[in-house]
Amino acid sequence: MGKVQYCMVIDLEACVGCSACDIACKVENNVPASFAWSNHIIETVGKFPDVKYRYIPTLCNHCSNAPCVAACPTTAMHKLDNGITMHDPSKCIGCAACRIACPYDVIYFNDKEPLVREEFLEPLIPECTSSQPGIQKKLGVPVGYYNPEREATLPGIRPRGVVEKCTFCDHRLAKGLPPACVEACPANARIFGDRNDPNSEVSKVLAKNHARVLKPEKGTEPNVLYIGEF
Amino acid sequence: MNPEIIYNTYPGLAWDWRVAMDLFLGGAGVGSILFAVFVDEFFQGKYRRIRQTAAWMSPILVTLGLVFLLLKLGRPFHAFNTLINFNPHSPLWWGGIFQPLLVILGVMYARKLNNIDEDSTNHRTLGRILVPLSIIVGTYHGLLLAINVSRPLWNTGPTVVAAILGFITTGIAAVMLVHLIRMKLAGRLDDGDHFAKFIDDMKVVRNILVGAILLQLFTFFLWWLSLRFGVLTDRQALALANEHYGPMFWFLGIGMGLILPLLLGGIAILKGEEKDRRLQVVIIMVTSFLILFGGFFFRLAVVLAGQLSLPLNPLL
Repeated sequence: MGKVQYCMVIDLEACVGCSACDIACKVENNVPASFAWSNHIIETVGKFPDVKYRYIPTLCNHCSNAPCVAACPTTAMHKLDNGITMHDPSKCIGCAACRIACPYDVIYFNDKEPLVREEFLEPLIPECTSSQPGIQKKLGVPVGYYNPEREATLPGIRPRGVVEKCTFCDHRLAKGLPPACVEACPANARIFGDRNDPNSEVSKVLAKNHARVLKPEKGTEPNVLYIGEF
Repeated sequence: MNPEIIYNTYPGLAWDWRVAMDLFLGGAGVGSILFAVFVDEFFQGKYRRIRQTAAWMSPILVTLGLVFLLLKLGRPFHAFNTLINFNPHSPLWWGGIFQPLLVILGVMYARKLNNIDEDSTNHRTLGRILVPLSIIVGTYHGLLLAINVSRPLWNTGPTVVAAILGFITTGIAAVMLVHLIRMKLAGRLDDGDHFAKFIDDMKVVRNILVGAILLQLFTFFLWWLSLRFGVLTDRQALALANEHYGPMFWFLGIGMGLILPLLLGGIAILKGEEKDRRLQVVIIMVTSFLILFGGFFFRLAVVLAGQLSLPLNPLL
């Protein structure tokens, strides 16, 4: 058996399009409101009455041949031994070369102070309701919601001027837990594991099904694969 | 039937006009140092001032370009990370190494030209080192865009060739414009003999410029061909680029930056150089300005259009 290569298979037939994965990801990773590490595409194909609707969840593909890693001038974007494409904000200069290089548009750039909702800076009703900074001060937390466990491998909130993206919840994997999106899926549409382990569920699913990837022509060898039809 | 995507994953524009400015100024800087070395090698002992102008402009323009790039960085004060980490797969890493080197050697070369003995081979050796270095930096400006497989508009061979030809045209134009202003300020434009001789010898430079413009137009044609008759994503990228930035690219970049200067150059040749020296000066100034103006807008259009998000094609 070779080294670990984490991989996610998304069963579009099982997926119900509820977006629980997107919400779970945001809460687990303290993702800013305008970013979506876990995202989705909605497609409608054809004309009534012959219409087909598809919901395709998307996230960082943790490509084996990752163009973002090749493009990064400081090695801030790098591959871990387990196949995860990881980002080190301490090395990041904010050039966005990784964002340009990514064919899937799943890397986000913090061009503003993270997790600040400008509409909540002032109280909605002066001297009656609280502003966001007021609540934070009172509760002693950096933001209205915050998961401190994210700090294990990455700054809990990424600073202004750097990029951020899905990490396959590497901090949870270190504890033997699946990624938050996998755990949150009510339809068990996401299967996660080591594709180099023939006994893993993900290997068994891949052996039984014809798996597809997004933009195969780019040659990035994604580790997020899709089976079934929505 | 094409899918209609009603919610895309596009996270916004990553590179803006500051990156276009870096490509433009860096390219003009590379062209001007090559111009300085060219004059030094082939017109030995002549045109000391234009050589100096060209040599000093290069480090200034490349530095200005780097300043614009730094202004675009999310964390400009961490830029030193490029120098202490090693990723030869990244064109930006090569740029971070070679551009400062070009600036340092460019300043050394310009200082040597300020005070040289014409028989000295010392400065010529440095000039010959600068030639491949500037070509590497110029090529880097093309590769920075061309290596991105995710951006079909940039991911072509003609992107690199256009960048190389672009630094030749904008470099020469920048030197001509600045040098004419410098001569005017020094009152040397009124020195008839000096200027007539200068114009006469600059015929070689004009021919290089005309050749580079024609080659650049041909390169754009090849670029268009490769996209227009390429795979689906190439055609989608071209259609999107034309829809959003077509007027900027075709009218400002190609029309004003290449075709109009070519026509003005033709007028200059037909009118005869010796007959109307003042007309020659005006034409050189206007042509140089147009090449620079178009050179910037061509880069801006390409940088912005290349980032337009294509639909993620449905799973096969």
